[in-house]
Formats: sequence, C-alpha cells, structure tokens
Amino acid sequence: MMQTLAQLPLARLTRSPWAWLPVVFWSAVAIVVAFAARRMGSDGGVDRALLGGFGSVALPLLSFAVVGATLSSDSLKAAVRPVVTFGASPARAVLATVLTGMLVSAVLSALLGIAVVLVAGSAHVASDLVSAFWIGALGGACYAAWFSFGATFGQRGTGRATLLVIDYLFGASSGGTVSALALATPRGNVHSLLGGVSPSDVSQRASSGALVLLTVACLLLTLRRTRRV
Amino acid sequence: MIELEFARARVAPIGVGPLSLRLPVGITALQGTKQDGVALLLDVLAARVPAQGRISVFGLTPAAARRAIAHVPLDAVLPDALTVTETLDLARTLRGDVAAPSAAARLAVLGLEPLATRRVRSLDAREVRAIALAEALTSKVVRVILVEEPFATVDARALAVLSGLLRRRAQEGACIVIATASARDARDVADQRFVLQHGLVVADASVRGPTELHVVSSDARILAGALAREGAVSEVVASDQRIIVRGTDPVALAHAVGQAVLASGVQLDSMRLEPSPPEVAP
Repeated sequence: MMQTLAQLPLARLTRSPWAWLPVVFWSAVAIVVAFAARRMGSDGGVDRALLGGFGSVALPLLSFAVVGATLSSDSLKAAVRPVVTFGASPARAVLATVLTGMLVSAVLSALLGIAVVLVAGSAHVASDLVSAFWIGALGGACYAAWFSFGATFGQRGTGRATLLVIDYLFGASSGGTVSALALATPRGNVHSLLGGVSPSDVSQRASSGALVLLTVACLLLTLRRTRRV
Repeated sequence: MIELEFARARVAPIGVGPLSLRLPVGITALQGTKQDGVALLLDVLAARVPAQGRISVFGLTPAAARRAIAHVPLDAVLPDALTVTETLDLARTLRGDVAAPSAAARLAVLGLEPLATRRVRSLDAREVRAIALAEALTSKVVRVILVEEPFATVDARALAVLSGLLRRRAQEGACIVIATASARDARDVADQRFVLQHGLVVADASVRGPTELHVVSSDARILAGALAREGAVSEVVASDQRIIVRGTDPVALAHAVGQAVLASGVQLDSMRLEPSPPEVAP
C-alpha cells in the first residue's frame, strides 16, 4: 500500500524536469566550492568544502527543492488530497509522501557528500567518504522531515520557507559560538557533525542523536497536523 | 443508508447543524447555497472536516467507510502528475476495487476516452470533475456518492447521460447525495429533497400534506408562545423542552419557527421535520 501511495510523489519528482533545476544548481554550487578548496591546496580544504558549500548551502536547499517537488509546491494536505479522495488513509498518504521526500533527499545528499569529498581531495579519503555519506544521508532525511512539517502550515505550504529561515537564523554560528536553540534545528547539528561549532558544546554523537530525534519529532507533528485532509 | 443524529460542524464562517437526518439508498438532494452549508455537509459525510454528533454511513463512521465514499466537490482534485489512465488504476488499487472495469471502459461512460493518455495537470477543472464522476459512477465498491452541483459543468447531452447513470447507481444500491442551489436540478433527479438554510434543514421538500416539526429548545414554553402567533402554524404542543409544531406547508412552517426564534430570542437546539401520522378514524 505504501508503494502505491508513493507513486504520486515519485511521479511528481520524476516527471517535472523543472523540479530538478534547483537540485542540479545547488549540487553544482557545492561541487564548485569543493573544487575551489582543492585549487587552494591548503590543509582542511575538504572540511571547508563540506561545512561551507555542502552543509551550509547545498544540503538544506537541495532538500527544500526535493520536498517542494514531491508536494507540487503545495501544502502537504493539498498534496495528499488526491489519493485520500480514493479512500487512502490520510496518515498513510502523508507518511508515504514524507518518507518519499526523506528517502530521495537522503540519497541525493549522501551522493553529493561523496562527490564533494572526491572533488575537494582528502588525506583520509576513506573515512571522509564514510562520514560525508552518513552525515549527508541523515542530514538530508532530517531536512526533508523538517520542511515537510513546515508544509503543513500556510495555504500553499508556505511554512516550508519559514522553517528554512528559522533554520538559518537559529542554526547558524556567529563569532565562533552558536545558540543552544541550534540543537533544535537541522543546521546546528549538521554543522556540529561536519566539524563546525557544536550547539551547547554537545558531542558529535549527541548531535547525530538530536538529528534523529528531530526527524522523528517532525514526522509525528506532521502526522498530528494532517489527521484530516 | 446515511444517518445523522444531532450532527454539527463548522468551518468559519459556515456552520451546519444540529442535523438529524436519514438519507436512504437512492438520490437525495441537499438544496441550498454554499453559505447554507450544503457543501460543508458533503465534506462532513466525506470525513474531510470534523463533526460532532453521530454520523453513520452504512453502519460505519465516515472515516472508516472512506473507501466506499466518492466525493466530487466543485474543486475536485486528482493526482496531478499521473495520466488519466494511471489515475483510474490508482483509484482501483486504493479502493480495492478489483471488479471495476478497465480504465478505458470507465472513461467511456461519459465519453472521456480522448483524455485517457493526458496528464491530469493538463486538464481543465471541468474535465477533472468529469473524470472524478466517471470514477465514482463506475466503481464497484463505492456505495456513497457525494456530488456538489452535478450538472453545473455538463452540457445538455451529457446531462441526460449523467442523470441516467446516477439513477442506475441508485437502483444498484448506492446512496447518492447531491448538493445543489438549483431547485430544478434537485426536483428533476432526487427521490428526497432537503432544503438547507443557514446550516439547518428548514424543509423536506419531498414531504407532502400535513407536517410535524419537532423542535427542541431549552425555553420551549416561551418559543411555543411565539409560535402560536405564527399564521402558518395550525397547532403547537409543548412539553418539557420539546415542541411539536403542526401545519401543512413545510417551508412556511420552518420559516415560522425561524421567525419565532428571532422574536422570542430563545436558543434552538434542534429541529426535525416529519410527516404527520395519519388520522385514525374513531
């Protein structure tokens, strides 16, 4: 049943060439930053490429574009209404749509993370590839859940953009410090995992746990807000 | 069979209820405008908006009966990224409608075959509604069809075809509820007609002859006094919180209750229209 319900969000993704434009663009930005880091040739180039072009820009905006495409740039309720009309349970329809966005976002982000490491070059390629892969996958999935929750607000799911702004405002570090609120944003924890400043000096293990918790919390809140479609 | 007992719902600024109605197998028309709550009542029956009171759809709640309910509002939506054929196949899978005819045969009932390969996104609103109607009318598991203004977007030729299809589905045991502002559409197609005003059923337009209106109010005696002064009312019987109002014209009777409520300033809890029991000869 979930496979059947995922048919619509997948079709929206695969049959809308324009939906891929921002995905390609933000991926290109991350690759260009990685290439520049390689050209500069200094130590820590891969870290800067992962933290800057990938973690700060490409990962959130790529996930934002993927979620927008699975929802046809509409609210989550409006996006699942066509299948609920045919008798599907709203909760399952929402879950299938959000999970599709999370899976696609996780896969693309993980692959982009690998590409950034390869382009930037690294003295510890194997370990950097593994790190970029799982942080990209976890971050991509968390961002997709975060934006899907945002899409439950506003007539056309405009809450998605609001959460993007909140992520940038509260998740960003300033002057080498980051507020404790960053723990409640994907950005704060992704930065911590990629070697940036940790919110409240928590460990990287805690940041990965926070990302998982944030993903689950967003999923549950999304389901709660879409009980009726 | 759909049954409502003291059902009420509100999506600001429109509200319906409290309503106590029985909508049997056949075609029932809810006559009124959107502001009167007819479309909202369809949303309630389709489990799209929460409601208070008891609502039973063939013995189940609307949410539990979702697969057997086809809802075709004026702004019907279909899966935008799929083709029309894929949409009908998806509907068949989601409803568990294994006995449904092929997509081509389903489209043929309303002459929609040329749209089979079109992407839903490329269709206009009239075509989307037509496909939603074709899906509802040809499904083998759908037992409740809720249609808002079924004849609003069809031409004269299709109108006769659509009327015939609705009638045939009703004869097969479906409970069809149409919401329309057109008294003519309601009269032409429906077996039973309810007139809604401001969310309340003010008349069962299919009732003929002496009529009883059962009214519940916390200030029954005051309301009964006001009702006794209304010309359309032939008899008022008040007891505790209940009032039975008798007359011959259901619409005038309901209007009289509205006037009496306004004049007395009391709260109306519910109102149900029933034909008077036949007189028994001594």
